Amino acid sequence: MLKLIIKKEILTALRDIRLQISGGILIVLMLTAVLVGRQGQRKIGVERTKAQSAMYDKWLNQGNKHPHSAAHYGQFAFKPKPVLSFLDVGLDNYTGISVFLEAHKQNEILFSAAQDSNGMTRFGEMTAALILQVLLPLLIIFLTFNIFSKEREEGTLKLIHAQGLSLRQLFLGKVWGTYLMVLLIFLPIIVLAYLLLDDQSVNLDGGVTMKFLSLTSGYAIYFLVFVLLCVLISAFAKSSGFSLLLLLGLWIVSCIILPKATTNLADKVYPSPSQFEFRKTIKDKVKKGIDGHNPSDVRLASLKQQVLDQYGVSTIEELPVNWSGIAMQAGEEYTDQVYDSEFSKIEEIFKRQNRLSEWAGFVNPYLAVRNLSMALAGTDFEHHIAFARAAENYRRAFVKKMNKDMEVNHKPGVGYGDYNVGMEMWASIEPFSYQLPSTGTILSNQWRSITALVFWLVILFFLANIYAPKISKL
Amino acid sequence: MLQATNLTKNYSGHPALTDLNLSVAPGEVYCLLGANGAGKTTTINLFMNFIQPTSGEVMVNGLNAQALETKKYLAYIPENLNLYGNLTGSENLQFFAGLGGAKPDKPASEKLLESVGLQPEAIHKRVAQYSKGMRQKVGIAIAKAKQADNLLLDEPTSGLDPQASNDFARLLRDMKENRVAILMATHDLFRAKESGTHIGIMKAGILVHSLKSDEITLTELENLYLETMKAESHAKTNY
Amino acid sequence: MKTLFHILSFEWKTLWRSSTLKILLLVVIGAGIYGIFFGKFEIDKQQQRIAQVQQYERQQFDSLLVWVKLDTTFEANKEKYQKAVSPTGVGWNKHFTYYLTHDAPPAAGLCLGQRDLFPVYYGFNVTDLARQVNVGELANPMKLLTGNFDLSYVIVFLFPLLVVALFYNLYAGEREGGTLSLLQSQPASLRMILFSKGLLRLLIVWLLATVLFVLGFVLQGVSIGGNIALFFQWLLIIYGYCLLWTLLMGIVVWLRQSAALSAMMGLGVWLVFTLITPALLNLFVLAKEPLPNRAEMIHTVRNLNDQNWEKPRSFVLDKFYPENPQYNPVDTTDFSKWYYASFTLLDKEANALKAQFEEQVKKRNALLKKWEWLAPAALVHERLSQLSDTDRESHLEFVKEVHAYHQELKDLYYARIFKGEQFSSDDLQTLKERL
Repeated sequence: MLKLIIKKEILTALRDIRLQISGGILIVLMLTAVLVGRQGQRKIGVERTKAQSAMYDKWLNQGNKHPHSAAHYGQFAFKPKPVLSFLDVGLDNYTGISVFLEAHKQNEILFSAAQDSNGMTRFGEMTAALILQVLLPLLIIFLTFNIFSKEREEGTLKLIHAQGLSLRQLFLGKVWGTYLMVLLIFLPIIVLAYLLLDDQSVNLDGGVTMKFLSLTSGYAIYFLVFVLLCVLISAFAKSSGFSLLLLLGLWIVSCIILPKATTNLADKVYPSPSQFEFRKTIKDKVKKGIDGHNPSDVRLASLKQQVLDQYGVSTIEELPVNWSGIAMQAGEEYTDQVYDSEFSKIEEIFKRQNRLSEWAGFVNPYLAVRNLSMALAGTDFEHHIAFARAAENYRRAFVKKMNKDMEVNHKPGVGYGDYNVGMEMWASIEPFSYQLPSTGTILSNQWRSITALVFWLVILFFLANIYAPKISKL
Repeated sequence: MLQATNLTKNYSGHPALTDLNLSVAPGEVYCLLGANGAGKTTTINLFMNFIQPTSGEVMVNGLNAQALETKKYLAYIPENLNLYGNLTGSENLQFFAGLGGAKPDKPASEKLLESVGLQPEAIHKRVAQYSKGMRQKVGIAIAKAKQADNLLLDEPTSGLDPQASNDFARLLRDMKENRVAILMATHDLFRAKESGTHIGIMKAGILVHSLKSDEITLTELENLYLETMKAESHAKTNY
Repeated sequence: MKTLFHILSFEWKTLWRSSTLKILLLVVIGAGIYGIFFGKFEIDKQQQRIAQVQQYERQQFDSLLVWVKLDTTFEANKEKYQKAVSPTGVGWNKHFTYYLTHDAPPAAGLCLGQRDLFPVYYGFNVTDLARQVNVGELANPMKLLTGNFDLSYVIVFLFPLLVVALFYNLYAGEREGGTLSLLQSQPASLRMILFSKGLLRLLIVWLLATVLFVLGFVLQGVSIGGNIALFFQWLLIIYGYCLLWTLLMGIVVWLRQSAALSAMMGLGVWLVFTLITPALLNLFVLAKEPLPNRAEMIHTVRNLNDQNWEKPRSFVLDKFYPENPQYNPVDTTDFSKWYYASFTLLDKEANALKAQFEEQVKKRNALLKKWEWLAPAALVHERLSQLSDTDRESHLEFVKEVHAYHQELKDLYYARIFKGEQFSSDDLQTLKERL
């Protein structure tokens, strides 16, 4: 029985010229987005890898100099373009792509694509994510808005019921029939997208297959939620016209208006400080101490006393090690400490803002799938933070190494310009590399979105179970 | 004056109306009888220029029906008369009549609506709350307001209760006396005999019989109608 | 003409009595007012930040003016006095930080444009500018991605939907409501009737746009009289945009399909012009014309800086004096002269490279511009942000001002530094006026 209904739904849908056209357009768009997107992503990926290794080359070939000068000369970290970003570009156009790593300073990750483009960029990029999250639901609406009302208006609903089919079965038949239609469009293209991945992609991100599978399942759940929601609404709408209006209204609110409003609201609820305030706080805290009672000159004096005591001498000149190196590293570490505590505050504010839209997934499934998709594609805020951390850790490690060398090998009494190291020292710093977070980390970060999707699925099946027998046959 | 000459209408090759010749003079009521799909509505639609003839000519007061001007001389009441639900009866009347250039003012439209038998308390209610008979009355008022010389009716009484149907017949009589040419498609043999001056029986797009109503009794008409429906051949006969 | 007014007046009655229209209008007005307040909120936040920076700058400078009057016979006052009068600062790179702010233009709150992508202030001292402007504003990228719910958004995105909602059943509504045949039996042509109905709807949309737009000015406290040209240019663009959508819906109505199909077609047109074409253009252009690798600039500056320090001082000064003949090349070994000359060289190199990048960006944006007409929503949004002076170009203008201001400061500082002089109180007054 169920099979018959499913078959009938698919047949009628496949024979509808309007659906043939809109489905066809969707497939063409999807193919374009996937193929061109992958090409663009590969190009950008190659460019960034090239830039990264070119900059490392410059580090290696900077010539002989004092290690602290080298720390000032600095290095660069380029954010690798995540493999799956061709499916969901996420925040990638709005986050910086490279950062200059130098002594004493935590530079910002700079140069977002949006800053280099005109206003058109703000309209988004055609990616699989845009199509799957926004356009495919529209196709589902076209497939389902009159799925019951048409049968009611034409009287076939009574006929079907007279054949002894329960309304629950009929409901499920329509749901699965529509869902299979959706999968018919979704799966072949997603498989094609998977085939576009190559060895290089796997090298870049070992977990790419796992992420891909999770992404696919996330979307599969989202579509089922949407199909259920649409069929349910269409079953209880007075007429086809009303059901279409209601569904389109719902679509506009959840896919166009709410996402913007949610993010804007989050920004109001959790206001963030300006760059100026942020930098000033760091400067003040470094100067006056984190608690405000430990000024930098006092800290320096106590460090000096500690070092003198440690080596059992009374003046800096008598020290067997380079005092500047020690002082510099201590200053660096104190600044890092302040920076970390201040930066994590900002991070927390932004995370709270984003969490609001994750929770909003319980109200609007579009937001749940959007956040999940971005995370799995490696283009969400967490990934940006992960890169920022990796780059900062790398900076600290190499600056520390330079300071340590200065502390140990730059003997007191030797002039600044007279102690130089070279290529061997530079090569002892490994090139910057950054591992994308694992699938497990991502999924556990995204538990709210995942729960929201599952919540929707359960609640809708539950509602369908209760209300399907109450669908009016007239 | 309504006139059809050698009027033929095909829908993608299938004939809906074949070679119709018909003329309704002022003061005449021509009733078209026939089964569903016999071509009655097609005929009316051709006079209204809702559709265009494949061949032949439709004339209204001597003008080709395709001229917009003829609408001034035509009033029309369809089977299901629908009006704007969120306007009142009086407002609907003012709107439609106004399109013809003769917008009655409020008292005039009230009077007109009362004259067609609409209850005075209903006049300023929204049409969404009207019954079919009430809507039909507004339709008649619209037709009357226009003071057109020709009236086309497409099964105006189907679905009306006997009282409303009777009211309707009375109105028809008034119009006839005012020298309006009336062409009406109907299933109701009794009404056709009573109100019509002429009766035509159609079958499969052909006007099979055309006669004056005072030449025939109701029983004869019924027999003629049933025979025509049964007959295999559509040979045109004049009684 | 008489018929036109007749239809308009009755159509208005029917529309006004339909709850759908009221709900639609309420939603759009609600969204518009929210957008107006959101825009105000954002601009206020930016202006607050600007005020904060300016206040800090004034405070700092005022203490310099106090310090310059200090009695240096007291040992404790010496350092402060030096800080005030020494153009080279006291201690390592302890120059006074000047700020230049990008104040919000009058209509910025109506169309926030690209302002949120860029800092609205830069802080810099008289050393090289190249390494001081590489800063951004702290912003949640998620917010930048989803964009601003300002009045321009309501007009560019939601107004077309309003037009679709008002027009989709212009013809189909009559047919499906059963009033079509009665209408057609009247001596007014159907085309005329539909045109009048359409005209009324367009007038409603225009009126609504005007009301919201005027509300935008009033609620944001922007004077209309003072920005009359801007006001009318905006209005003209909005009217044109609404008209465009009316014409597009006119085509849909002209196809005379069912209400459901017309609604779908309307929505389809909306999707194509506001979502699909801009997204496709972005996809193709990004894949075809990648953005410049701006990290190159930071590298060039650090590399040159490295060389400046590693090589003898003549490396810098030999290049500096011929290009800046106003400074007298005597006693070329002076550290200060070499030190400050090197910054000029860094900036020169950086600016040349920046210009090159900007060329590349321009080429890319020109490509987008060439196809912009395919995406009227993006086109109108770009024009509105141009008018409101909140587009990328406006930021570039601001950066130019930053460069000019920096140059001005440098001229004042270098005049003293290269003569080995200190600032007088008059110098400080001049600088204060320049703040």
